[in-house]
Amino acid sequence: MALTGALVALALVLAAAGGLYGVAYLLRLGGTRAGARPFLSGHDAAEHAVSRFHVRWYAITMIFLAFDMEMVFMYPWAVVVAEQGAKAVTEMFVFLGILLVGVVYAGREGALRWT
Amino acid sequence: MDVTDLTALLLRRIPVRPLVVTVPGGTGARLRVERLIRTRGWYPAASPAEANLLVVAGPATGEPADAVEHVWEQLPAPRARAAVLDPGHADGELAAAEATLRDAFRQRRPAPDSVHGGAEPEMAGRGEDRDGLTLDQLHVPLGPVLPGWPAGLVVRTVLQGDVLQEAEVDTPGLAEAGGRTWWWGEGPGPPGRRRAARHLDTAATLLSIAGDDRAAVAARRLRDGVLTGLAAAEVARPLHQWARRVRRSPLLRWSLAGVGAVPADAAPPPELAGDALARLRRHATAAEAALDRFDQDVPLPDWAEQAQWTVEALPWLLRGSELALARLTVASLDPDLEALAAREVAGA
Amino acid sequence: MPEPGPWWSALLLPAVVAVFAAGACSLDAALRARTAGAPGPAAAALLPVRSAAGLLVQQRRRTPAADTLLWRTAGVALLAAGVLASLVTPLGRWSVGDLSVGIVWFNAMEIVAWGAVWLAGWGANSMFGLVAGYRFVAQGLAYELPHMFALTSAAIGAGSLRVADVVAAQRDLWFVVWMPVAFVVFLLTVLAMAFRPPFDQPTGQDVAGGVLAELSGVDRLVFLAGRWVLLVSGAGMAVALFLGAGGGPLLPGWLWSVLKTAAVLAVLVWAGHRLPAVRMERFAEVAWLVLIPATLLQALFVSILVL
Repeated sequence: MALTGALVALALVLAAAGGLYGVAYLLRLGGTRAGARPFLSGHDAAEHAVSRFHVRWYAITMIFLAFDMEMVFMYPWAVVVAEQGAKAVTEMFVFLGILLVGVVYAGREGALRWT
Repeated sequence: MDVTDLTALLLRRIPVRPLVVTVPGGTGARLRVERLIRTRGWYPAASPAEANLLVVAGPATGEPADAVEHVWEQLPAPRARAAVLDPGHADGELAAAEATLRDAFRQRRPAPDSVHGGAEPEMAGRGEDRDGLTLDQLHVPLGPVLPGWPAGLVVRTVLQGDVLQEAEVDTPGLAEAGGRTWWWGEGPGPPGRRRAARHLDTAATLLSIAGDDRAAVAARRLRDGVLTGLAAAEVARPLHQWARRVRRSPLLRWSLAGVGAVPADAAPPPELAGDALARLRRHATAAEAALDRFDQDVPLPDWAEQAQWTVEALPWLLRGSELALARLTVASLDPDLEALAAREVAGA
Repeated sequence: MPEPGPWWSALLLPAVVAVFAAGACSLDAALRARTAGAPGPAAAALLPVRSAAGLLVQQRRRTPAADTLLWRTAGVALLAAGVLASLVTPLGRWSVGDLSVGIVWFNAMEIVAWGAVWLAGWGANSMFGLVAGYRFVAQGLAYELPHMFALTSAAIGAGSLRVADVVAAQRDLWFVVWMPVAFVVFLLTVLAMAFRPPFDQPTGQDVAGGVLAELSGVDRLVFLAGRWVLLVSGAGMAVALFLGAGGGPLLPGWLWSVLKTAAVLAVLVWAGHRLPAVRMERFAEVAWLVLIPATLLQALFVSILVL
C-alpha cells in the first residue's frame, strides 16, 4: 500500500522533471552550450578540477561512522525502550556515554578542527 | 499561440541577473551600476552561468579585457553586455543592454559553441602540501573577474583540496587605468563623504563574502545615500543601527575572529592591523565618525600605502589558508589598487 | 489519528509540496527586496515564477570533460528525494504512505541530499563546484547526528517509528513542550540539510555560487526546486513530530497542518534572512561538542519520562 504510494509519487516526480526538461526543450533559446569552460575568474583551467581532493576533516568521518552505526541500533531500540524499562535505557546511554567520551577526547586532540 | 511567441513573451519578463566586472579605473562606474542594479530590483549573479547580463565597469584593455571576453563566452543565452566607462552613462547603458536581453530576435542568433581555443586542461599533478603529504594540486588564479574581489587584483594560487599552498600577486591592467583614482581623487563631492562611503563599501564586500547579505545590502544602501548627498542627519540613524548590529553580532564575531590576522611585527598600516573582525569593526566605527564631517575637506587615509602593504603581504598572508579564509582575508584588506597606480603615476 | 490515503493521494503530494516551495521562495524574495529597497515586495512575490521562466528559456551548458550523467542526476535526485521525504508526513488525517518505519524513511530520503549535492559539485569539473561539494559533505558530518538524535527523541516519546503514532501520542501535549531542545536542533539541521542560509556555504558567494556555479537553464531550475522542496519536507516533518500535526481547535485538521507548516517554513526562511553564514570549520566543533550532547540529554530525558 505505502509502497504503491511511494512508487506513484516517484514516477510522478520523475515525470514532472521530465516535463520540465521537455518544456525547456521547446522554449529554450539555443541548444546546450557544449564546451563551456568552467568559471575560473576569467582564465582557462590548467588542470581538470576533478582530482584527489585533500579532505582535511578525514578524522571526523571516522568518528561519524562509529556514531552512525550506533544510530542504526537506536531506531529499533526507540520502539521497545518503554516496555524493556530502565535496563534498556541504562545500557543504551552508558554505551552512548562511552562514545561521547571518545568524541570529547577527539575534540581535545583537535580532530574536530581543520583550519 | 506559437511556442516561439511564448519564448519571446517570457523573455520580456525574466529577471535580470547582472555579473559586474570592475577593472582598474572603473570604481566610479561600479558604484553607480551597483546602485542602479539595486534600485531596479535586479540581483547580482555569482557566476557567469547564473548571469544574463555582463556589466564591465571601467576601461578594459589588455589582460583584463581578455578575462572579460573569456567570461562573456561562458554566459549562456539569453545574454547581453554593457560597458560603462562614465558613471553618467550607466543608466542608459543598462537600459540598452536590458532591451537587447529581452529582444527574442537578437537572442535567437545562435551563440557559437566553444569558440574558445585555449590549451586543453591536463590531469592534476602532485606536490608536497603544508602537512607534508604529496597530493594533487591545481593552479587556480583568483581574479580579475570574481564577484566581491578587488578590481585589478590577481592572486595566482596553487591549491590542494581547498588549501592555498602558494599565492603570487599580480596587478594586470593597472598602468592602463592611467592614474585615475575615484576614491582618492576624481570622485565628486567632498572628501568627507567619499571617506565614509569607502568604509561602507569595504564593509559591504566583506559582509557579503562572509554570507551576511542583509548587512551587506544595508551597507550598500547607506553608501549610496552618502554618495547621492543625503543629509548627515538623515543617514545618522540607519548608520548607527547598522554599525551597532555589525559590531555586536555574535555570529559575525564567531566566523571572522582570527581570520587573516596580521602579526604586529609585520608592521601593517594601523587601519589594517588585527584580524578581519577588527578591520570590519573599525570600518563601521570610522563610517560613523565620518558623519560629523560629511561635507568638509577632511584628509583621506593613505589608501595607496595600504594597498602597497597589502599587495606585498598577501603572498605570505594567504599561504596555507583555505579558500574561504583567503576570500575573507582579501575582502577585509580590500586594497584600492587605483590609488596605488595613481601614486606611481604621480611619483614618476 | 492519521490514516494512509488511497494510492491516488500520491498524485497530490508533488503539487502540495510545490505550492509550499513556491510560497517559501516568494517570501524569501520579498524579504530580500525589502532589505535592498527594491521596488515593492509585492513584485518580489512573483519573482519565483519569473525566475523559473528565465531558467526555462535559458541555454543549458556542458563543461569539458564533465561527468554529465552524474551531474544531471544530482538535480533530479535532490528533487525526487525532497518530495518522497514528505511521503510519510500527514496532512491533517491523511498521509500518502504511513510506513511503520516512517521516521527512518524520512531520514533515508534526506540523506540522498549528501550524494546529490556532492555530485552537483563534482560533476561539473569545476574548481569552485568541487570545493563546495566537499563543503557540503563536511556540513553533513556536522549536522546529521544531532538531526538523527532529534528524530529519535520523537520516536522514543511515541514508542514507535510510525509518524501516525507520533502524532497520536501528541493528542494531549505537543512534543515541542517536553522536547524543546530536539525541536530547535531539528529546525537548525533542516536548514543545514537544505543548505539554506545561514548554512549555505556550499552555494556561497565566496566560491562563485559553489555547486551552482556551472548550472544554467532547466538543470539549475530542477536543482533549486529540489532544494526548496527539501526545506518544505523538513518543515512538514517538524510539524508532524513536534507541533501535533493536524491537531488544533475549530479548524479542520488539514488546515491546521497547512497553517503550521507555513508558519515553520516562514520562520526558517526569515531566520536564514537574518543570520550571517555559518562556516563549517567553526560549526563542526559546536555540533559535536554541544549539539550532540544536548540532543543526547534530550533523548535521555524523554526515555526516562516514558519508562
